[in-house]
Amino acid sequence: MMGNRNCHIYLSDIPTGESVYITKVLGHGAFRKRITEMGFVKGKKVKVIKNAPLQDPIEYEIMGYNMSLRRSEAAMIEVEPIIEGDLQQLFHYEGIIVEETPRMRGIPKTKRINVALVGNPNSGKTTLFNRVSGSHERVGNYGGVTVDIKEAVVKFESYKMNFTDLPGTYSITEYTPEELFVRNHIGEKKPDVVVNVVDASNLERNLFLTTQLIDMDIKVVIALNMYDELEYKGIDLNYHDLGLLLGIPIVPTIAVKGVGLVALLEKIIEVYEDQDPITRHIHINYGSMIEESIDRIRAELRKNKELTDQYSKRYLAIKLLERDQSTLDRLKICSNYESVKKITESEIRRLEREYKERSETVIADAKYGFISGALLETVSPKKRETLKKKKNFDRFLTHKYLGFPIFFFFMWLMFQTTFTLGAYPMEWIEMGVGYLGKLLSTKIPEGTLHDLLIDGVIGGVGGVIVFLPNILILFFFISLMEDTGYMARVSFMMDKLMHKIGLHGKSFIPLLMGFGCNVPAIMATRTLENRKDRIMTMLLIPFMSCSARLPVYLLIISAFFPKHQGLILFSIYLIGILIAVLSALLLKNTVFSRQDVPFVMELPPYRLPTMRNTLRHMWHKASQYLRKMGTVILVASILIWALSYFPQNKELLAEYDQQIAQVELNETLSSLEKEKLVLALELEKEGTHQEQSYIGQMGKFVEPVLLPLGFDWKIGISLITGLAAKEIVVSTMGVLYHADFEADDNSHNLAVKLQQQVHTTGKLKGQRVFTPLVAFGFMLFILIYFPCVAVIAAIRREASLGWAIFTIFYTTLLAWLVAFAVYQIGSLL
Amino acid sequence: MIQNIIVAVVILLAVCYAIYKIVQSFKKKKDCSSGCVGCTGCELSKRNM
Repeated sequence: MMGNRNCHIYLSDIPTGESVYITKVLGHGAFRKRITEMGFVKGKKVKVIKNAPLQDPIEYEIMGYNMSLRRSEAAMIEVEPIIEGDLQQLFHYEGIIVEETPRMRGIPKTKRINVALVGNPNSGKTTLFNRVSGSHERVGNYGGVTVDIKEAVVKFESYKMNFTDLPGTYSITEYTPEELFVRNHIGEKKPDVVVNVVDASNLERNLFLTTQLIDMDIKVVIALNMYDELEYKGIDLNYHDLGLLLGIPIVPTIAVKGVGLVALLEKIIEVYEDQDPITRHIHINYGSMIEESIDRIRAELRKNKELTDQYSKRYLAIKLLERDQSTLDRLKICSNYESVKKITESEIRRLEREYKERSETVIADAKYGFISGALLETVSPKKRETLKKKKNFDRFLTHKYLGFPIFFFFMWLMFQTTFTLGAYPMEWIEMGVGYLGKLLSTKIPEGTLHDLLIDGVIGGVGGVIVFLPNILILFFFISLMEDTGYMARVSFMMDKLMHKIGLHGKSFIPLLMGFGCNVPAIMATRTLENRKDRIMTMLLIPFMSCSARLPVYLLIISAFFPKHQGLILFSIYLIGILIAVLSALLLKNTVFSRQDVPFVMELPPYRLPTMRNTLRHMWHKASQYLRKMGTVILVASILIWALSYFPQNKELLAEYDQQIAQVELNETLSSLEKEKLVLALELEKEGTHQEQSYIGQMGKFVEPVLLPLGFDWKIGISLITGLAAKEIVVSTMGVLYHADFEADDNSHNLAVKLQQQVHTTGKLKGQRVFTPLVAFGFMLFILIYFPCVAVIAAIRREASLGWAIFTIFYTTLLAWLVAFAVYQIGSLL
Repeated sequence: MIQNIIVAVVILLAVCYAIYKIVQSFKKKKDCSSGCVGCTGCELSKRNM
């Protein structure tokens, strides 16, 4: 039922399926600014699509795209019902004012063009960047994949183009660090041409950013990307006329297929060389009242030549009217700063008195009015009405009751397939490694180098490389979730839960990215507007088990949990999520006080993932993994081998050799007894040697801390080496447990070696080191403790040194406590 | 003997590489890929808090 409070209707009261017009946006600050920039302005039609499974947030359709708002935020938008026949929107279209000043022509130019790619999140900038430059930067069907700038040089005709891919922004204000970063990049680096990548299927909202670029008075080319989706929707756009109206040439592109990119490069050159007939500087006519205010501020700004040489006076005036603090701060160096401030304040008061709205909303309304008018003139209205969408798929995936089970089923399927499908190529690689070990063993004579290569390099690197197929399968699934747009839907479903634990729905995306690798996930927290949200998300990301930890789980699960492998793996990931939730609750009630940040998130349309992108994603991961094998893992294996090989107690070794020889010469023993005794002596020799080695001494030093968890010194060493990278845990085990890849069959592989390990000293002497209980505790320790050096460095960069140190201690202490509880309580049962 | 020399060189190189990587990972990135060049986002966020 439609509610009615104080004679006003609010968007939160509107039932699913109904459409209304916006009459007023309440609220203040960042929320109001963001919501108006996203198109929630007076006169726009909004349709309620559905509630999330937990009834909050709500999905809305506005200007042909979908976005989600929390119920509490929708309650700040006043609406009125659509009366039949009343299709008149409440915008004002005043057209444009053509700038008469001719462009500077004939200035000699170099053949080097600096090009910046600017556009809304998920408009395809990075796909275009990759296609144009041949780069392989990460892309995905959700906003905020690019969180830092990427650069590439493209040679085209006789020109060298320096392309810069900037993070996606909805506008160039100061709402998020990315927006400010993009604005500073354009203002200070002054690219020769800005390519505004516009999502053709979502023109109205995307053109809002274009209006800001027009205000900045810079050379712009619009890449009308995903043009095929526009055609698919049946929209007939006269982009030539739209370009004429905006004073910006428009080139239709389909970046994912490489269509229109040559034309785009040609257009960039034309614009750079001032040869494009469409390019001209226009002023959007904001209406006489606003124009008057702009003129008054401009007149005062004109007195500062240094500043106005750098920035357009009109742009600065508009920004001042929008209460842009950064622009005001920038003017502090000017001699007439006080005068500019006084005039601005007086003009803002005048506008707000007249429009009964905040000045920034008045300007946003005017911009959207201009966009609507321009589109009315260039889009065929008949065809616009034929727009239809297939929503059944989405309704199923985000269903009230089925949404969560479907998500958990996908997760389970991902881990189960990682095991079952990955087992075949894993076996082949294991055989290959075994063959290489045998070959090297026969070619290289006995000695130090032989031992280094067989026990150190093959044992260490070989133990890790076998897990490559499993990791690729995991990444295949993650890529599918990202590219289809399902990831953003999961974020939508999770918002209420995330909100309950003090996080933002958007935090879910960096957290999910953490399953791939924690480092980019920590960088992805930049998309969160609030610093507290960012830091809290960063602290939780290490509990999202990254792919580097996967080899450890696969090894331990295959050795000690042969039944229900997929289920055990799934449980480890779930425990990670549970620990993250509990930690979030703890942090929310201690370190971080509750602070609500609006959940304004675009829900991208579902798209079929391209084989090219999925394969590229997997290839990228494979090459990264192999590179790691050849560097960090290889070096770590060599060092661990050296530390476990030296010092050599030759007397002790000779003593053991003598005992072995005596057993072999003993004729009273049967051959079977001899074999058993020799094997026992060999193991004892190896164990004693390792315990006396440097690494053994280190292990013995940390062993007392780990004994309450049921871990021996070798596990302790594996955990220490895992600080550098988690894969090293497996390579360390490969070296310390002497995984015998020379063996003819798989009976001597690392998993079997682990099963055979016994305690050599202490109370537990003779007992198995790894019981299922110890194995499970060990996996939990790996899941929770110190993520890796790269993650700590990323937290230090993105948050602070203090938070990095906090992460080190918090995670490691928690890991110890959890493993302790599992072992001690489990032993009692 | 030759095997010992090769192993000593390999271990020395591995130690050098490990030290280099540790130092590198904790060095604050100043190149453009850190995304912080010219960005005042952190100050802004503190102000917005």
